[in-house]
Amino acid sequence: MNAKKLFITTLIVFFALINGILFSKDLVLEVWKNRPTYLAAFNNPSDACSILRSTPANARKAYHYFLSDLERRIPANETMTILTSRALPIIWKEYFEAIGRYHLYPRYFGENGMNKDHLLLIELDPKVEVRGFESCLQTPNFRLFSRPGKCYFKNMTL
Amino acid sequence: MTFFELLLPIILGTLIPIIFGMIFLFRTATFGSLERWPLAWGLGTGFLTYGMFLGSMVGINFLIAFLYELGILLMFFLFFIRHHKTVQPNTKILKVDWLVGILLLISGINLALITIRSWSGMHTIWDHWAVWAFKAKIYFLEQRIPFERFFYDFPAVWGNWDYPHHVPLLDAWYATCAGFWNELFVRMVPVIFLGMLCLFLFGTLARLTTPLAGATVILLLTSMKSLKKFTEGAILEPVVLFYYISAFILILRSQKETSPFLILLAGVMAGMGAWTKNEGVAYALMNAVCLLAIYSNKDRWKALLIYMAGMIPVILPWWILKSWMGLKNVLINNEVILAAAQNWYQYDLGRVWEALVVFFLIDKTLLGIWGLFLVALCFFPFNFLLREQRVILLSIAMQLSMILLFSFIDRTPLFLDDAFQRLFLAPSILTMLYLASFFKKEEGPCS
Repeated sequence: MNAKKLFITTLIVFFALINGILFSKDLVLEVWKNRPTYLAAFNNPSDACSILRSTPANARKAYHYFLSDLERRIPANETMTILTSRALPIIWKEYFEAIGRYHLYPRYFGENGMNKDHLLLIELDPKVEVRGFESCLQTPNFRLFSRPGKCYFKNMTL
Repeated sequence: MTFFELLLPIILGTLIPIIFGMIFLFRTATFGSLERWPLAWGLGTGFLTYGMFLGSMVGINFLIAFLYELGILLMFFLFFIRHHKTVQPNTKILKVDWLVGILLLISGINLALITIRSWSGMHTIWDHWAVWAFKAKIYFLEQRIPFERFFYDFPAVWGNWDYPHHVPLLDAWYATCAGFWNELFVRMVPVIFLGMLCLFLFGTLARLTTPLAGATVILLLTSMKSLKKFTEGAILEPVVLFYYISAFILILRSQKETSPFLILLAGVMAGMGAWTKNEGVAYALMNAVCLLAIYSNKDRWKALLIYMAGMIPVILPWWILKSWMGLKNVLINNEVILAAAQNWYQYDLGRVWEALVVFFLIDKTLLGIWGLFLVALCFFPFNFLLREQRVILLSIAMQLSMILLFSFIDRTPLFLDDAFQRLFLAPSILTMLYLASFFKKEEGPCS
């Protein structure tokens, strides 16, 4: 039994070591390759999810500014993945499908072969009940997130 | 604002619960110093969020609730000091050889890189933000849980309102310490729990088996792709696993060391798991079955009673409130179970196997662990196994049965893949514990 125990424990340690080194190597390479993104986020943690706030009075203005800003900044040949909370998708889906350049995934992103060039996360303020497009625009706060290093709204003032 | 400007509230917000927990463990000599810290963290955060929750129920804000808790702890502390007996601390010094050192070093690198990616990488999973984080923000802004607004302000928001509140309250606690909201607080909590789980496992296994076993297990743990993914996505898996695994180990230890305190502590930790996520309830019940299995007839029901005395008070207030508010479980409820039972013939076992294979192919570490587990099962006959090993096997069997049951109840492909990835973590860690038990010095089989 002791020989069996020695064999199995050696096997476990050997597997853990090799597997751990390979896993670690992949992580180190990934972090090293994307170090500007990580450094940017460390320098400004709140920018990791850049937040745009708007007041009811200028929500409509903010919305149009936001879309025209997107149109301007994203090259025409690139697509964009939009992620929203489940309360919101229909409203945005209609709009983005109409534009034809965007596609919407209400639940996940970064998976299923979605475009990773530009990711945007839109979350409606949970305090607000969503009934339609207008109520979305009247939202006291809606939050727009973007990927670190791709903060579209960093310098936007409302 | 830079990351370093957030360090003070993060350190403060982490140290306060640890100090709280340390007061509860003040007079216990049953833990080494490496286990004491994670246990204190688990207990302390639980005590903190429990107080915040009860405070919200009676309409007081977080700060007042915190002051009440401080007062209660002060009384505890004075009581302990007054009745202080000299307790021999566990000062066993671990001897770490070069191999253990290398394994620990790689684990540390993995953990550090997971931390960097969690704190500054892009979001990869949406659930946390949709279900937990936005609640945390509301609670922070309101400085209490606004239960009354669940019905009026949030009826159209998909937020799984039946979920318990431990982690949103902990996120809100960090924001309260800082005095402002930052998404980093939300990203940080699962990482800290993963670190604490590693510390707890290493401390326990190094003391009870060998340091090599402890180092091997935490290296495997920090190399798990699924766990990394959930940690980086700020999903609560590391939190619920921390509570489940620590409760399980405490149960195993309680029988060997004949300590009712360990059973009580296991009950509290299991209750905390249920106070973190709904599947924590299932985990707590599985631990109760393990408790019944490991104790002999004479002590069985007494042990169960002590365990329940630790677990039930933790989760009962939320259950009562949930039932009073009429919040039913979103994912698993009577209608879902009934529909699954009525359409039993639609159950596609092939789809389940497919999800399982895909899952194992994605995460090579788990493939290796389960492979080694099967080899160990073939090598060592059941009658050779120690009592603890048999209980671990029982727990793995229960976990696998639960996964199968879940796949029967909720057959949506998306949820099936998701559930497999989440639910397979607990039995995978149990298989690691099973494998680690072979590092232990020779003991006779159980009678």
